[in-house]
Amino acid sequence: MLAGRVAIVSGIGPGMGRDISLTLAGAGADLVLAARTASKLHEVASEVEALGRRAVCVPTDITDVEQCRGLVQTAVGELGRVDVLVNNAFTEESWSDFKGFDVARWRAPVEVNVFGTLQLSQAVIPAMKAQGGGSIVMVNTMSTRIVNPVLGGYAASKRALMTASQVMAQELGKHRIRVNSVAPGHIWGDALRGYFEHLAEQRGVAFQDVYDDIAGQTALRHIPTSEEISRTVLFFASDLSRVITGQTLDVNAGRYFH
Amino acid sequence: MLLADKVAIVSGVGPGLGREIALAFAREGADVVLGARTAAYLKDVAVEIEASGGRAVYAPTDVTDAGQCRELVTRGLDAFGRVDVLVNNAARADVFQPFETVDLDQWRKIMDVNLFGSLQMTAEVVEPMKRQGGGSIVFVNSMIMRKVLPLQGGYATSKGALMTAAQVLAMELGPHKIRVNSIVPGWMWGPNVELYGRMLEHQDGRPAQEHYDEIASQIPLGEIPPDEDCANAAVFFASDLSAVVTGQALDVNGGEVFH
Repeated sequence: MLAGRVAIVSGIGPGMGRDISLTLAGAGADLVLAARTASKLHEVASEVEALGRRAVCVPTDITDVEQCRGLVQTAVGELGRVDVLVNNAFTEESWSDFKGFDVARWRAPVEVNVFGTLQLSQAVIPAMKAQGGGSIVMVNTMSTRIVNPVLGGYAASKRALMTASQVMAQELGKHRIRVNSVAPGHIWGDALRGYFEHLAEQRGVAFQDVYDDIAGQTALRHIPTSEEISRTVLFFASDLSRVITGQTLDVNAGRYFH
Repeated sequence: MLLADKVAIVSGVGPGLGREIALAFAREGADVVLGARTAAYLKDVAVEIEASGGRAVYAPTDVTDAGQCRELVTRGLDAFGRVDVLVNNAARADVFQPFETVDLDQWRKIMDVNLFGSLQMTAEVVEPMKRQGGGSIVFVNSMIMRKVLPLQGGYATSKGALMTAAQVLAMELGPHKIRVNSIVPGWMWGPNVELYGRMLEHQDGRPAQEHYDEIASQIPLGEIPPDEDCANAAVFFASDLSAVVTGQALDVNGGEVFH
């Protein structure tokens, strides 16, 4: 589905970033891997290479516009083109409710999730325009649909990103650059496992009870893994979605219907 | 191939989107079961699929007749032994009259096909999908329920009902691993829009192409999405690419409306 294509994925770590990279590589893409921590990049790069694809590692802090530009320059220099950008990098905020609101606490997620993502997206536009098109995929979140009171800054930043994505879709459509979002709910992985263990201890119940409780809130009685979610990113990256832009797909096993 | 070893039923297989969905499914490796009221057309599509190495069976089907819905599913089960996907594409167009004066029985006829026909078609696949441990049901909805246009109130209302019905089914059938999603096409380049352009040309004397260009100018991607591309959204929901997606609607409109 992505033979001959080059994809940049930001926010590479052991969870979603890794699985998006491997799914895109499995579909034939060469990868440019970006994250602040170089060691995380190299682990994923070796897995991409094991699939027979090329992987270029570029340590990048997306809040630094020069690093964003450098990332795209390296991608074009090493692999010749950029067909897909998956904006997966994000930050949450220190969990705290709105009472005693501190503007700095909300500004941090906005800087990374909105402006970091936008400046990286801006940086790929010239290459995509020159090639005659491309696909930008935003990883958004169910936190914009079901608001968690202790994650207000994060949720607000992601909703801003969703609207900005529609603005971009409107403007960039004429260059055949598509911009779409996937909005996962809970994502099964080490982080969530740790959180469930914490909840089980807090509630004095078994781990499985916590899992069944949260999974039971979804129609499919299932908590999606990052690998399962990554397949929807592949759809938006590929030509299967050639006539789709400005849309958001909720990927949550039926926890929330949009 | 995204649909290898799957069996898919497609209703409303006519010259437009239904045909393209059936062909796209066959291209991705599915065995296809074709339903529509007009038998002659079904046969043509089945022959086309077989000519490219696929397998297809068909049965003339009016989705307002529950018995015919059952027969279509039975035809598929007899031929291929299972049913993994149902695409509810059959639809009735509007009578193009203002709400103020329309005979609401005309709207009822639209509702009978677009809502109740789709639901009774769906009811027939629930048992086999449950037995198999899951399946995917796809409703073909319409941009009309996001962007209401004059004179198509009956059609828009029926599709609005269908959108909510799809979410109700997603909720209820989810525990059986049956997923229910909607694709929401807008303008689609295909026989219907070509006909529409020629009708406008006849009405106002401006070339059909001007009308097509006017429609395309409202679409960020700058073209009226071809129905063969729209069909790929149904492929996505039918396939395991969307294994953890249910109760959702995907707008396939070149960016004309964002959802």
